Amino acid sequence: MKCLSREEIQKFIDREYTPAEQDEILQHLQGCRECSALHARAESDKALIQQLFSVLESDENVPIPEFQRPFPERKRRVLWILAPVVAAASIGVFLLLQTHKERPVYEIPGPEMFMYEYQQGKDLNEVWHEKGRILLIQDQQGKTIQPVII
Amino acid sequence: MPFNEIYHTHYRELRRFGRQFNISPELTEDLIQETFLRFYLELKNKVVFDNPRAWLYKVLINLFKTHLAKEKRAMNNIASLKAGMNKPFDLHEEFVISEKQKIVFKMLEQLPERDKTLLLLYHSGLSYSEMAEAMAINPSSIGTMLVRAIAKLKNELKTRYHEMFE
Repeated sequence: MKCLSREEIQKFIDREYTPAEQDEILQHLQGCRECSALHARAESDKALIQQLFSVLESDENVPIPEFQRPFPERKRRVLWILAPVVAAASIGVFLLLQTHKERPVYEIPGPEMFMYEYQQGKDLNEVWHEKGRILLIQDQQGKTIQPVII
Repeated sequence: MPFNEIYHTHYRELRRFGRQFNISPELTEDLIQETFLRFYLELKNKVVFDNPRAWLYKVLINLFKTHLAKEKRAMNNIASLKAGMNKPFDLHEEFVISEKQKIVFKMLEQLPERDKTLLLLYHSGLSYSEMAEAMAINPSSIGTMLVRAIAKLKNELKTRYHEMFE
């Protein structure tokens, strides 16, 4: 067997050869001083890498989080069909509620009720809510039933 | 192997890898969840995996790269707004606890991205074929690349940080 290259030594160290090849190389290493020196150097390089990179290792025993399974496919499809239906239904219900909502009803008072401004002794240019007003409740013939000062 | 078993076997390993990649714990966990979600959906689509481990690493690395690119773009946008604030984005400033870690991170930053990833995957104990799959490179060139990456790392160590690890 001829002498080994650095790559071959590396492959030998990393056990990338078949067991038979590994044995063959091992035998060669025992007999060849040059190759065994190369082998020793490669081994020390590997140890150096391990030492160097082991510095980077930290928080080894972190708990493994639960894997978040994606939504099952079938359910997802059902959801896609359901989504527009639900949306349409909710819009319908909303509109229905909107139209049936009770609104305050304003009715025009009957012809027997009139309101007059109370003019005597009052400044008509006063602000509206400061003006005195009198409410005359009359019957249909125009006869006052009851004046009320507001 | 059922999904749950794979999840529990590889979760910690991926987390450690993410942390070594200098990703904050929260982001690492998010990216790992995303990775497993993709894996889950692949399984749902009846994809058969020869080596789920390598696949998970590959997806995680890609997610991280995407995230980093996005982050960098955002930083560049901010930088272009505030002229003179053109500092490169520094992940390790924020998250690293110990000084030694900081130095190792800094040293890894000096290496080309591919070598850095390769070394971290190697340290995580992946086989050559797994590394090749995770990084989408030819399996036959892994040995050579690995030896070169180790040499570069050693060189870096010798020239800059010789006083640290003796």
